[in-house]
Amino acid sequence: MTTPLTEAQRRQLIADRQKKSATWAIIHILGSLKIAMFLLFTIALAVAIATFAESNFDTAVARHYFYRAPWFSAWLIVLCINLACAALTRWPWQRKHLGFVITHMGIITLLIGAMVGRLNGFEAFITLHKGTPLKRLITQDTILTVQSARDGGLDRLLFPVEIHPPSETSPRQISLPDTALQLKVDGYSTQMMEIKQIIPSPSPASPAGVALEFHSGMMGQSIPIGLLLQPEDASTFDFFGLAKIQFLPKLPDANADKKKAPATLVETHVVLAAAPDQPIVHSATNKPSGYRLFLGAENPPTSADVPVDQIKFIVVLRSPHGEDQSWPLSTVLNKTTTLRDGSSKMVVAGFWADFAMREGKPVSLTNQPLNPAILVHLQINPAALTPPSRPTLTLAPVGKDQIAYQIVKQGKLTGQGTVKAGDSFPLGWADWQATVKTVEPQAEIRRDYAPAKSAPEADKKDDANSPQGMALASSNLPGIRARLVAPDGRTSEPRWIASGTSQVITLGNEVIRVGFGLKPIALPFSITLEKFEVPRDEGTTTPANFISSLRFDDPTMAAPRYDTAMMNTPAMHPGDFWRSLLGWNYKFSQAQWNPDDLDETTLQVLYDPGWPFKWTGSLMICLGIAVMFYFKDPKRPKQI
Amino acid sequence: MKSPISNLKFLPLVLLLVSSAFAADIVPDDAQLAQLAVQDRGRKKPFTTLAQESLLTLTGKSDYQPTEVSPKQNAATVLIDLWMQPDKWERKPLIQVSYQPLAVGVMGLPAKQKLFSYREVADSVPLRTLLTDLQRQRMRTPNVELTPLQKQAQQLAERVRLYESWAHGQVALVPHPSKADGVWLPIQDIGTYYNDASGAAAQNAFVAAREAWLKNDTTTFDTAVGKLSKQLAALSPGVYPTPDELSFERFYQHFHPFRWAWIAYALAAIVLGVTSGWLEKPGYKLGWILILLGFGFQIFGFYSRIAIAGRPPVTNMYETVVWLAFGTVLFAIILEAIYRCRYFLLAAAPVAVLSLVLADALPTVLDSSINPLVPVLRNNFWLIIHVLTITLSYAAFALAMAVAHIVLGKILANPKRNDLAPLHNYLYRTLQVGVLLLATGTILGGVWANYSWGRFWDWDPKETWALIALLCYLLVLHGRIAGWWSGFGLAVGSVVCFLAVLMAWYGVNFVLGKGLHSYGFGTGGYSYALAFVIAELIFVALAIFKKRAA
Repeated sequence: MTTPLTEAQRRQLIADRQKKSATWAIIHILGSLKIAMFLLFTIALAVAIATFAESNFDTAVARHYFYRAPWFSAWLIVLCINLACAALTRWPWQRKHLGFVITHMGIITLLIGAMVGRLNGFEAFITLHKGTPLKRLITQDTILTVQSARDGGLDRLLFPVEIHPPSETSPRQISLPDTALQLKVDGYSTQMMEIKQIIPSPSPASPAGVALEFHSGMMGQSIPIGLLLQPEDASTFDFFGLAKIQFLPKLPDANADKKKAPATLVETHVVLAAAPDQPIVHSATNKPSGYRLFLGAENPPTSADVPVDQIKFIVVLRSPHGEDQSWPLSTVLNKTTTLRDGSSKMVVAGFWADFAMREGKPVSLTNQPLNPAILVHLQINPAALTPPSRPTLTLAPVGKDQIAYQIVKQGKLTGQGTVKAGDSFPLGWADWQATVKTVEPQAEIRRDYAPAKSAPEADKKDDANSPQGMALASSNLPGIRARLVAPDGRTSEPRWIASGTSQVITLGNEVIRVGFGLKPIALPFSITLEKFEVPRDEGTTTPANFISSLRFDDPTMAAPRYDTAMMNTPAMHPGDFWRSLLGWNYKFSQAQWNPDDLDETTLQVLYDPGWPFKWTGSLMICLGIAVMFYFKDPKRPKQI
Repeated sequence: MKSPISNLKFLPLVLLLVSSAFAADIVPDDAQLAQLAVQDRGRKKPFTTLAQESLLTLTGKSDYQPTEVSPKQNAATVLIDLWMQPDKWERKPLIQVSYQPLAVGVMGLPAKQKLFSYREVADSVPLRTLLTDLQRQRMRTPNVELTPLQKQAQQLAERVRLYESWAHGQVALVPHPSKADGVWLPIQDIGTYYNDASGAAAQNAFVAAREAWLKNDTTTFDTAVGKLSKQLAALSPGVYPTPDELSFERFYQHFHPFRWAWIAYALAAIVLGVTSGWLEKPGYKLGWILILLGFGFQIFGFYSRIAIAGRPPVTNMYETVVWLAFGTVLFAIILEAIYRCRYFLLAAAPVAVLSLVLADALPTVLDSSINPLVPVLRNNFWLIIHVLTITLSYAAFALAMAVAHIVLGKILANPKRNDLAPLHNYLYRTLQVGVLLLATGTILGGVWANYSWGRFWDWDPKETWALIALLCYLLVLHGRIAGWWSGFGLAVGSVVCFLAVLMAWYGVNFVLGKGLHSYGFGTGGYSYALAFVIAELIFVALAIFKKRAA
């Protein structure tokens, strides 16, 4: 690295070559400090603005306009050129340039690593359920897949929807390869609802099917339901937790089971209106019934000055299944009340407007409703503790075009009959009616999607009869509306396509299958969650770690490999040292968990061939700066 | 649904609680109380620490003084009293509602008051409505972004819940029989773990303590507490913290090593400042001694926190502020040892005093309690190295800024002077330390993120602002190489660039952080930070103006 040139000779050489060679002149311009300062300043300013954009809008916006924008990449390339040229302007390098060259080359290496990683690597997610092997990763890029019936060729197009979702006013048109057609996308919804259509099946082996529509005038809703005799998951429908609907070859016997009741449970509750979450419960039988009591008021006092007798208190009893029963306090105070199940009893044995304990006895400190409380004795018939069987609508085919139905509610047969297409019958929960749409002796299901209507405000009523149905029926699946457009202006019917599904769209003779969803990536091996553990901080429910025990089944390996992904310690596959060092493997880091399902874990998957450049560059930068600052050529005069 | 107090032993306990309305100004023996261990927020701690933290959460202050004329009561007295006779406290002001839009606007409470009674808060219908709405909103969209009002209401609800857990005797005193990380129980549930004579004995000791408390009998209370803690420890000796551990933490809580540190640094600053032109040699020596003394206090403070928490002390704002003071003094000591110029010590002392005083004086903004780490920060060598390096770089830049103040101050005093070359060199040396550490720390952060989050760099606001700060300092250094400015430019740059550091350090957490744009912490911290930024900019502008004019 050292040359025998003296400092003066070197300067002369550098000055001369700029005059003689256009290449050198350009290098010296491109590597100038002015450009470097300009780049440093603009990059700092741009990313500073980007952080505010992220804070005020969201991460997607900051990425789209700044961090992943083409101009930003271009800027970084210009920075690389500037750095390389700056290093070249010092040529021939001397010992004093060591730190300078290492640092600047390190930054270039790091940026090359970033580019290699972005072009050839990927970041994706995989959600694993215990015991189910998976090979497919999901990225965060949305794509369209287009498949023509003519040649069967499959095309994938990146189709970002997050920043500018397509709409009727700003549709997006895409030319389809190998046809004259265009695909027009002019709708986007973040919530899609699945509709099962029953259509006749050409295959004689197909099961019978029935399509119903449930309608409630009170709710102003219609819910289509399609059922097949086979398989099992197509033959039942959970009506949003309110009722069960099943389609069986034959109706069952409605009067099946009755049980003997065990001993009565006896409990005492002290219920404070002010502390509904802190009931004081004394169970004489030492087994809590799970009943909860609340003390409320029809007209809650707006100030403490309202006399207690002007307040209409209400006692609410909530069963372990969440069913509420309520009474005005005056009607139950000091009386024995029979509960809804007909055998359990409740006695409200005392009421205090301003409850306090004085000398071991409950007293009312004032006559103002400052701390209303009641004392309640419960005698619970354990039979009431078994969850009430939900209403069940059972259907069975009769002949080719008729359906027999039977409605069972609270163990009692409440309705039955035989209907055909076009007939309606009441269901007996709220004002829901069922209408038979079609009956098919051989049927299959076609899944269709539509954007969910705005979900009714789930909290308007806590009425047990108001199904939060639509909110539950729709998912958080986004979807797009697409149609085909011919050169002469003809268009096909629009179709909604939910994320992760595809639809066939036809226009004239052209049949195109269009899919929409997050871009998947196939792994060359499968991965299975063997065990998922969430240790907690002592004495709390706060997670202390997340540990996913994983099994990798790799066709290139004789035996399965096992590894563990936990916080800060990713699992790798293949896991050997050199591959990890070079980034030629898949890294699985703990990303998300589902508190409601501890057999589920979501891992972030990284494949980054740019990794060796990144760490080499990083090392060079740190080393270079240290050399520049602290390992000076001892012969060189000291610089202030 | 199991109620938290469904144990049948609770009822008689409640029924026994006798309210003696004229209670207790008794001051329990702190040393005895500290021997009583409790399990709280994921670790075991002395009762005194829990009381201190609870009072701070409830009232925002570390002593209880409802009005300016009333005598101060210490945390343990107040919380034991709340525990022993809850109904006495229901109407006493104990819960802080200082956010005016919530207190006055929503709850209709009087504007001038800060503390309100449990009844006033818990019975507030508007507050309950607000919280119920919030809960419903949450159920629909779990990750909903809260408004400042909702955030404050939620914090208030947490204070109410804390009050209730004390009032209901939910103090986890009874150790788990076998597991070190098992759940501890309140004393009334002792039968669940120890349904024998030893359990009954501990419960009797507790009853004796409570009776003594209700009779205002301090001596008996202290004796009973001592007995209680010994009996509880004997129940599960392997799980219960040792007396040494407990008294060490109490000692740390009382000793305030960081307070002693800033006092020593402040004295050093005064001594070094006063003796600049007079009694130089002994003054310089004394300054050195005081700085080293303060540094010693800080080392002891860090040692204590590490010993108590079992982890490095760099995980929240409080700890980084204290660490910044440490780093500033550390670099000042090293550079002063090399250059022997007094400027480093003189510059570092005020920075250290300022940050330590802030940490000491704003306990609600900078929470000094020792809590377990969130999982992502745990057991991570790279993280520790990364955070320590970055924070040390901030410390170096803080020192550079302080040295720059000396430079700019001298310019302001005499704009024509040109004998500042040595100072410029000191400044440059300090900036070098900072740039090397910040570059290394930022890159180590990438290595850490690659290891932990599964990616090297993803423009997270925190990492982005660290990069911006680095780019700013690189601009300053490169501009000097280009000959666009010299020592004076370095000084101006050191001050201005430190504002970028401030943004990376404080701003990202407190200004950019979603939902935290404006309030809560902001009411205290935000205005201080803004005032600091404006003051610095004015100072720099003045220096530039003077220099130009000369």
